Amino acid sequence: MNFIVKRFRSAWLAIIVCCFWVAMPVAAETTVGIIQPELRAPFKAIFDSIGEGIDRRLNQRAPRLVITKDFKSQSISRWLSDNNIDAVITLGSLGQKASTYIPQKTPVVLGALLSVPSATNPYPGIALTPDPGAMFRLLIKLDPSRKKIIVVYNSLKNQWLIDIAKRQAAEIGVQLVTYNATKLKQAAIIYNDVLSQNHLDESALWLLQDRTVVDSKIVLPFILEKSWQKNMVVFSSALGHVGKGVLFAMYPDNVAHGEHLAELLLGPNNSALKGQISPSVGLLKAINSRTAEHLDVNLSKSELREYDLVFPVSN
Amino acid sequence: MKVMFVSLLIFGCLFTTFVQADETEEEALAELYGGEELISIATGSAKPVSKAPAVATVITARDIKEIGARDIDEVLETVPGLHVSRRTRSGSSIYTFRGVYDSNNPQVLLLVNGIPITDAFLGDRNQAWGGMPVEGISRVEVIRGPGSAIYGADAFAGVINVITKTANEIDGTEVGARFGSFNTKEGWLLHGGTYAGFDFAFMAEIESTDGHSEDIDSDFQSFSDFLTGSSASLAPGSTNNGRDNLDLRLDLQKDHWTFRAGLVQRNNYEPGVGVAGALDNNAEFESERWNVDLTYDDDRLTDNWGIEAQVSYFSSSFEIDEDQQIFPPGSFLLLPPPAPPLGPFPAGVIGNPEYWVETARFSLTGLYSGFEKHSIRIGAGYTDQEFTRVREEQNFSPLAPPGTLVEVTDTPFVFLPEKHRDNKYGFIQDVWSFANDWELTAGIRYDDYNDFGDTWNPRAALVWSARHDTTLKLLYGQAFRAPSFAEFRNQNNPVALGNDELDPEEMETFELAIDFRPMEDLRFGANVFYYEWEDIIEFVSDPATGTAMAQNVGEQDGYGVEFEMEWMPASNLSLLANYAFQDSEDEASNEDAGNAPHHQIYARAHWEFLPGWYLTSAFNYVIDRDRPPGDTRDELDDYQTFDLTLRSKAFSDQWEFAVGVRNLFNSSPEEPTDASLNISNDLPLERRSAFAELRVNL
Repeated sequence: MNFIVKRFRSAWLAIIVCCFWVAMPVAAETTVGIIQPELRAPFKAIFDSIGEGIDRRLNQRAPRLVITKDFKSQSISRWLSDNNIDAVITLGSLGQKASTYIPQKTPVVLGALLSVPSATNPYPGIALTPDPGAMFRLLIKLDPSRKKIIVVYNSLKNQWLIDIAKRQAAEIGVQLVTYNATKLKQAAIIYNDVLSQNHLDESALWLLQDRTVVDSKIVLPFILEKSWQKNMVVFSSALGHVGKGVLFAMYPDNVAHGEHLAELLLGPNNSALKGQISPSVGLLKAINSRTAEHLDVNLSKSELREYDLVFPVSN
Repeated sequence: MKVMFVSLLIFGCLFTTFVQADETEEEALAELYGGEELISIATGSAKPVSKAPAVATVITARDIKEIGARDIDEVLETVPGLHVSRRTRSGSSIYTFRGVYDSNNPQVLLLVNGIPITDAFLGDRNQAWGGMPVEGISRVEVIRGPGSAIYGADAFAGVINVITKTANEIDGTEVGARFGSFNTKEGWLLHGGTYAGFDFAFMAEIESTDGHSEDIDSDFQSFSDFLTGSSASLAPGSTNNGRDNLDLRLDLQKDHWTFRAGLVQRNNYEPGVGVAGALDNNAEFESERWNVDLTYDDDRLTDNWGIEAQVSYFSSSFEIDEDQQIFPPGSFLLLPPPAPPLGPFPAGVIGNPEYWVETARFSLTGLYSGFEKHSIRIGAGYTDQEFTRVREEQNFSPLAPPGTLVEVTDTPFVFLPEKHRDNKYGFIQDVWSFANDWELTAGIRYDDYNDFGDTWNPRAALVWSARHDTTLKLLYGQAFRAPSFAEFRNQNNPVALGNDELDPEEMETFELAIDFRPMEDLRFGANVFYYEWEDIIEFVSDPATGTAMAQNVGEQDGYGVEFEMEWMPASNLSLLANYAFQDSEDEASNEDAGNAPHHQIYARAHWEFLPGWYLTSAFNYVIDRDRPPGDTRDELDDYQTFDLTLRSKAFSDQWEFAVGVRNLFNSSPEEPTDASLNISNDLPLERRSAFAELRVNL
């Protein structure tokens, strides 16, 4: 049984999320509050959209507490009691930090995470990191011959994501080859080795949004140059990489992210998911049509329309 | 070699690791999305910018704020190969692309949301243009070179397309005010939101200014005084550049429909030097420009077809509030010899021409993608243009004794009779990805005008993605410029008589462009171009009658290069620089075509020196402007301007203030004047000026 739970953890999570949908009318009685960091435009728009998704699923506007990095724990307690808040969704790293001051009996979900909290974190959450399985499926759709996916990751930051990715790769039927590098120097050597190989026609390189293994000033330009020469598909968990020349990326649909957070919070088994962080499954797609043409990935106009962003835009 | 490359890679990584700071929330989000601009796009508050198969520059609202621009001219001066000069007669802008200079400037097409705002009387943007405020602008797309295959008439030396903000981009309410030199006061209100399912945007911008008032040493009247023995000239004296502006825009969007409407008003508009190059301290003009357009846009009408249909109306008036003194009080009116000068005129020689140009347009465009590797754009349209509500008063008409102001409307003595023009057109363009990394764009447009006939204008662009960081473009295009109504039908002005036998001006351009992005946040662009401009319309003197009539006589060739660089060496510092060179020759005289700068250098640095504090410095250097053939004056002095803008949003996310200084070192920029106007120190522009602004987002 344990094996089944572990092996299909993502699938279970999805099923549980779906079940929450059904449970919503009952749960809507709960007063949910959102704790989010103060951000300037345009960053603020990301969390505003997530909040919109939360409100939409709750069918009401949730009270917000906007905090700065020097927030006081008392202000959180006061806000909780003043607004009679029964459950909390925190957004971002600062929101996650604030969650440590919330009384333990209050259900909490961590949202819009950009790094995974420590193992002692008691709350479930969803990261902004796109779901690897969704990206693998898009890769196979674009080029079914790419059966081997190579990724360089920093186990200190992304072991959780690689564990999920490995399971998903097996489910989808692609081979995931992982290299651990805790420093950019190590990662650069691995990329160089990988991209120096011949016969990369069936391989694809997956880039993570992690500056300790892919920086945009040195390593990314090197990867883009080599992969262009070798006709190797490169895809990424960071939207910004598409504009620079990787084939595609997926990025969070922020409203959907908010909806998923609300569903996760109000679900009956919230407490069963203690400390479990999952990647974003509500995703948008971006593609670089210039790179697609170079790789002979044929996309008709109607196929291109399935993408939310197309780089570079031509008229 | 390979070892060295890998060593450099690893060394670079060591350095990168060393400088890496603790990631803040915003930095992490910027990393995930790839920067603030992409966040705006991904969150729907901005649109991805088109990359046309042309040599194009796109300036976004963010760039405009960086520049600290208050008017579109400040934005356009930053584009390589484009220099903003000024018209002597009204102080209006002359957008000089790549050496193509004309004091009326009809060789440039200015569009607002894709719709031309040309005033067909002179082919300019109206004699009381008065600039365009920038707070409501989402982006400005500038195409250097011809665009008639897409845009039709007047997309000749260059195309400027101003895209205004939508509800998403404004998202709330912004109110701002700005005060500056020359008693300039500006205010704006922008609002964007969703009401009853409609995305609603409203933009109101007002400005009142006395304008700068630099002195000119002599004017045409000084010359006339010499001939007639009068002493009427107001020179030396200052030019007059005051005006009151109002710009209102409405933008409604729902599903596939967009409705836009706008009103641009210019009041108390002073005439610069004066209509005849003689200082006029009396005239005040007024202009009213209305636009209404409705667009249906569905790029997924069927699997293979997208469609865009648009109907639009644009009207533009030129009216005179205070008498226009063509020549000042006490002057004589010079007539073609052997007639003696007429006068004197104690109240000055007064002429008050007024008119409206009304334009209705309909266009239908289909986008077909049913053929593999082809993307076809096909369309047709109809334009109907009326030169109407023509009125004129004169005090030098044969209908009354000299000096008596009478209306000559609907008489043979009016400056131009009412006129109708219509234009039917069709076009087709195919973008063909014929091999990996190769794309060919080929298109042609046919235009048929009721007054000067038809014209075909093709274009072709071959684009090669040579490397992951390098794109090469080879471009060819033809363009035409429709004769203006004044060039066709002007009457009773002996030095500018119309000619209804005119053909359109034509241009053929070849360009080679390279775009190179060797590093993250570093981009180089370069291009070389060559053009041939034929059938240039000039007013040719007839010694027998002493008059001048419009004729297709001129020919000009030119070539040049343009370089651009954009670099972001640190997350809080961005640099931009460009250099443009052009050499244009008048083919009749084999001399330099004159007036436009041979070289121009522009550089800008934008630095966030403390969180929320921004300093922008900009340097513009206009170099080497010859005189046109026949003008024996010394060439114009080069000039440099240095601008500083300090902006802060450090105190609050809602409030923002800025202060700026223009022409910090108080140089004396001058733009060329026609030799016949006898203005010895050319047209002086603004010296040092300053402003302060405050805006709040609600």
